[in-house]
Amino acid sequence: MVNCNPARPKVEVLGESFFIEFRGEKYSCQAFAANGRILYQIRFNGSVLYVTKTINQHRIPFWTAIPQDLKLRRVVAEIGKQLEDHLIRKLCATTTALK
Amino acid sequence: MCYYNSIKVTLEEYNQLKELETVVAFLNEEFVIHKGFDYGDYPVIRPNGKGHETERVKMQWGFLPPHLRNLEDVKRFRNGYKDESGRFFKPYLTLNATSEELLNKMYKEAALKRRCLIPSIGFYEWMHVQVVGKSGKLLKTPEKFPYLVRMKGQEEFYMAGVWQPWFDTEAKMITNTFSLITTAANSLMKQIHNSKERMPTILPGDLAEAWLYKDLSEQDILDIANYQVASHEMTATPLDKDFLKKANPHDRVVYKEVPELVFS
Repeated sequence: MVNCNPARPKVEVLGESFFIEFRGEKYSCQAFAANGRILYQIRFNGSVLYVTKTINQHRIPFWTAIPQDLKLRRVVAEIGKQLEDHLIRKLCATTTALK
Repeated sequence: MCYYNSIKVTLEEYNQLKELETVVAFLNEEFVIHKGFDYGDYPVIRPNGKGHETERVKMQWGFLPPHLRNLEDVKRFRNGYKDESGRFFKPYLTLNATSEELLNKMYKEAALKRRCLIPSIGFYEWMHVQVVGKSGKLLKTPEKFPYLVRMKGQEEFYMAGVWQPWFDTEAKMITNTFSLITTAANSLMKQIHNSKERMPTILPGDLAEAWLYKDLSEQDILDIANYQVASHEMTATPLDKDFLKKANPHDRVVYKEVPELVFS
């Protein structure tokens, strides 16, 4: 038999997908748990962006794309803010980086 | 200290973020809908040269023959072009290679030497349905209704493909490209893909193994490429016409204009 199942990372789908509003359009998002972190997948009509919250050396949290893309810095910050607003509205929770 | 997003993060944090890239690569394979006409990268399975072992590598979906010299040639090849006299040269669509013509011209060498499998959890096809317009008359252009087709009891299945390394003589770079093989539609796919009556060549385990490893004769290659999986082994879910924009693209949506599928 052909074996096509190389080791895969453990990824868990978290909750149901939801929408965020970004520059006047609605886009669907899905949260995933992976490696003890939360990763957000944002679908832009076929293409996909992944973002997560991280923390800098001065312990200030910020949002980053995975993989890193410097050109998307501002977009990612804007989307991160939208994700936080969504979570605050839905869960009455605040997001913080893990450390 | 290392840099990520132009801001210094600790080495430990940097390593964690790099590890997430592996997760993203996995999610891209598992949860993302790949559109052929994006000519993007897709995971492909090929022998790794060590006995019966395989490797999963990313290749560009859209076979590029070796005679193309650079990206300009690729653009012309895929989109068509007009020469100086105004004569139009048609585009070549190489996302799919028809099984019947696999050993003709472009794909022959790849079919003999570079066969691969394309893993999938499901594929999408559109049914063309003549609908009645507001005036009460049949519209000239049929409406298209998408379906997600999967294999019963198989989370992942394998479609036959051929691959071709393409060398960009300007960038001095090699890009591996592939084409997915299609065969005549079975009775279910004839109803769904009713405009062309084709479907991917989905291979069961023994044929997938033969496709990758065996020293096949031309007739064997054609026989496997023409293999037609049975309708009763498939499931088909009707989707929203705009499923690509939906939060849950695989939600079942039934339109009254669409005839019910008959499984035989």
